[in-house]
Amino acid sequence: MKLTLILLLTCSLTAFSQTLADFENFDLAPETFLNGSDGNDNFTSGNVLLPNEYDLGSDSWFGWSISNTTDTETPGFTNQYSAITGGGAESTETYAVSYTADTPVTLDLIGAAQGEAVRGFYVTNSTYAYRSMLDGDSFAKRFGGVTGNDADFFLLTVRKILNGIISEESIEIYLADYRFADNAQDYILTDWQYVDVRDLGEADALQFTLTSTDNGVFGMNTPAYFCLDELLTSDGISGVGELSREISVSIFPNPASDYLHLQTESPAAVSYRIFAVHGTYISQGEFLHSVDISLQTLPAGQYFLQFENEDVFDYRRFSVVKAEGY
Amino acid sequence: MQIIRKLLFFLCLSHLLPAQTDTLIELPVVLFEKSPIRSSDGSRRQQTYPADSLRPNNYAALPERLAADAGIYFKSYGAGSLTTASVRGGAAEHTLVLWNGLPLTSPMLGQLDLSLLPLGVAENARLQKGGNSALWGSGAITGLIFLDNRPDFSQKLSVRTLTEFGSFEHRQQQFKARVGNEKFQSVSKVFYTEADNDFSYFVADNLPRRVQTNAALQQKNYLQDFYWKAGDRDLFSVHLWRQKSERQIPPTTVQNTSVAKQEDDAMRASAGWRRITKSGLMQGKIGWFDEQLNYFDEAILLDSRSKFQTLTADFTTQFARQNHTVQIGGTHIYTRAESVNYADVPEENKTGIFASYQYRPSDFMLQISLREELVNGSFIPVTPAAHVHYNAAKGLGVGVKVSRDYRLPTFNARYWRPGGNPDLLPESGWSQEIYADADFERGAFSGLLQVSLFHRVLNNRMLWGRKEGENFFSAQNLTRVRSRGAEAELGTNYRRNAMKIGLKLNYAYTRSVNEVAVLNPEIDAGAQLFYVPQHRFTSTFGFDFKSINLIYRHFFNGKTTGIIEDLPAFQTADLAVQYCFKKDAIFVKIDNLWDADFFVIERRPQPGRTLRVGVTFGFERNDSDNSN
Repeated sequence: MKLTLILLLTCSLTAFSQTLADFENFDLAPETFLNGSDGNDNFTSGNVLLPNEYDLGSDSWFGWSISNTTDTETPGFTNQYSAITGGGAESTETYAVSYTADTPVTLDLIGAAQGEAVRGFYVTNSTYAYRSMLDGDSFAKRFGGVTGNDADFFLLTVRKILNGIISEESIEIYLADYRFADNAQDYILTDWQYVDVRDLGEADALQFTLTSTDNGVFGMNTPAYFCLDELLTSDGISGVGELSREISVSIFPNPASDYLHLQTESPAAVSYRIFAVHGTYISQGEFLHSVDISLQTLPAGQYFLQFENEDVFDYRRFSVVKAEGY
Repeated sequence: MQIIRKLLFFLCLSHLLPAQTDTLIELPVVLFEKSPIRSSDGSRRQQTYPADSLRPNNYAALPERLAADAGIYFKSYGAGSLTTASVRGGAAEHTLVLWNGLPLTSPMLGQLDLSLLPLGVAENARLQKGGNSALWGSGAITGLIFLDNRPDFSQKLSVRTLTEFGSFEHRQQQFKARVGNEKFQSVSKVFYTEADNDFSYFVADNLPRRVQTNAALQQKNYLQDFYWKAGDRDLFSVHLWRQKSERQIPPTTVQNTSVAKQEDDAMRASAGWRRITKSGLMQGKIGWFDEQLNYFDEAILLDSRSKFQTLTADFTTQFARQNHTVQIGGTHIYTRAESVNYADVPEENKTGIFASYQYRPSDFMLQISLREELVNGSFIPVTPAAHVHYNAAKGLGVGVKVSRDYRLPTFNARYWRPGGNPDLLPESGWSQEIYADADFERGAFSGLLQVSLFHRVLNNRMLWGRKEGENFFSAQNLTRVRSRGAEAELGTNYRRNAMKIGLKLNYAYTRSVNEVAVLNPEIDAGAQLFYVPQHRFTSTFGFDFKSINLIYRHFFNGKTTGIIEDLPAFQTADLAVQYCFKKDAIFVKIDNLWDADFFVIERRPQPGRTLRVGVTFGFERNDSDNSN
């Protein structure tokens, strides 16, 4: 199947390197999660570190968990590790779940991404928060209230932390928004939404804060959960002469086993580089209009392609699958 | 010996005296002057609620009966749902409920769900306001509710039943049988209540009323009492109480559906002994309570079970000589509790000893009490109390009460994961009260005026809150609560031939504030406690004519502050009409007569006008009768 994905992208004129934090590196068994009960107080994927606090006595946690559970139906905190999408962004399996408990959580940039701009990530609601906002629960209200007209919202605010200073600038994502005059426009996010945070600029960490219109003296009644996936960091020098243009490359098949076909309508030559999902360089090449790349030597796994065409960069994710016994 | 016989007779029957009041409006009376001073309130008048009295209100659950006292406010989550009492601006954990002198309050929660208690489980219910930790220990800070079972050796055979039907598929069946003679009594009681509680409630203008769902309940109570009068001096008693309740947990007004349900299961057994001595009396009792509270919610795959057991042993002895009476006693309570939210199975051993001295010449009463308590090896500071009462003139009594009171942390506050805090300090503080009671009788009129002023400071008030830097709530000694208020009650009865008219007006002003600002939960210094109305006014009008009696009660409840939003003031009214055939009766009760829409707890709707129709009948054979 031909994939034609058009993405906005940013690139550096002086150097290009990006790392994807997709959380697939945890190799979770199906329908499982990591919540810190194994003694680790953080999770690392790509060039980000997600702190976690776990309390053994109560089996409770704060900060981040890693999950691939797919339950989109069960409400309540017993299903606190599921995303309402039923899986990760970009058809992946694993994603991160954040529980903020009325207190902001952070996501630390590490390695080459530290001090660099984060390019973007996907967010969506947890099943717990979604069901609570849709139907209400014993603690939290159904959004819209008894009449359906309450101007409720569930807001995720992202700020950067650089040199210990939390930025005033922020990027806001409404995970639910019932403020429309026409109730038909009210929504609770059920898909992965891409959030471009390049405008925040260089950062050592990102800070995430959840706010809701449903509050009491004990804090927010709406379950303070959201899910995050496919976070792309910039590594090395960036932010100089950045451009924002589109590049169109089709790749197929995906997943692939023996070869990957690349095709573009660009009249100029397009160079490409292949990276393992954790940023390891694999190979590179150049093509005009189309090319078949051999995958014979690549083991099964997740990879991404970086394209360059007249100072414009783009990337695509692809999977390599191998027949049994290969 | 004759004196002892009379005293024993009095001790046994004195508890029944309030039940025999023939005033239309039940006015507070002086009780138990010759009974254990621990159970009395000196010479202060107290309101009693005799369950055996043939009045339609007495078939109700306990909160319905107590609600006419403006100084007590019930925090109800709706029909058949959790209901707790706030007395004089205190929290639910500050009122101790006693069954035959043994604490019923859950050691895990520190409170008792009063909606589970039909008034008839006891022959007599009594509310005593004010602190009394010196005599009753932890939790007796703002008041005590006594539920007492009593023998009636004058009855050889008595069988009574009650059948009641009402709105929202309400059905109640009560059965009570007494069998015995002048030496032995067996009292059996069965109570069954069920209801769908599918009432409708107001949502908004231009929207249809919403019908409450998943609100059904089923309550069963089985009680068996045995009494044996051994000789002239000794009375032995055994009480067994099996209580089983299943109820659905309805959705809030902003929740689409709920499939949650709760099961409460309690087995309570106690045995008591009382001996009349030459100079007083001794009594001892032992009780074993085994209780479960299970909460299920299939929608969220929740199965939460908890249970506790308590073993209580209590002994008192009282000596009297002329105007001096001394009572000393001790209580030991062993408690263990299990919950999936506890790391272990915590246990507690609590041993308290107390002494009380009462000096009572003709027009004066002084009572001083002291208590010392040892809890898991640690001493609670000595807890004193004093009460002075003076009969200033005929029908006029004035008094002053001062007490130090305390409440130990609950098991949940100490052991819940996360957030349980084993290092919590007991809540403690001082209470003061001055009061005046005046009664009068002139011709066909009789009446009573009671006025009280109270002040209380409670230190180390325990709340669940979030410390800075912590991501979960934990139990903490967060604030200090100062409560002060005034209560006034005016009751009058008019009697002319077969007609009786009664009116009781009751007002309470309660200012109960947090004195220390708290960050989380967000509580300002000076803020009134949640769900405590500053003003509460009740009025009761009664009319008896021959075999018909009518009671109308009107309630004004001032605005309160909730944990999510403020709750406006509201008014409700109840009407009960009864027609008696000797000792049988048919009755009609209408709760929320004016069909008011109101909330006691935000998002928890209350039912509108509710009708109940019932009949009670039976037969008795007393010592003086051959048949009914």
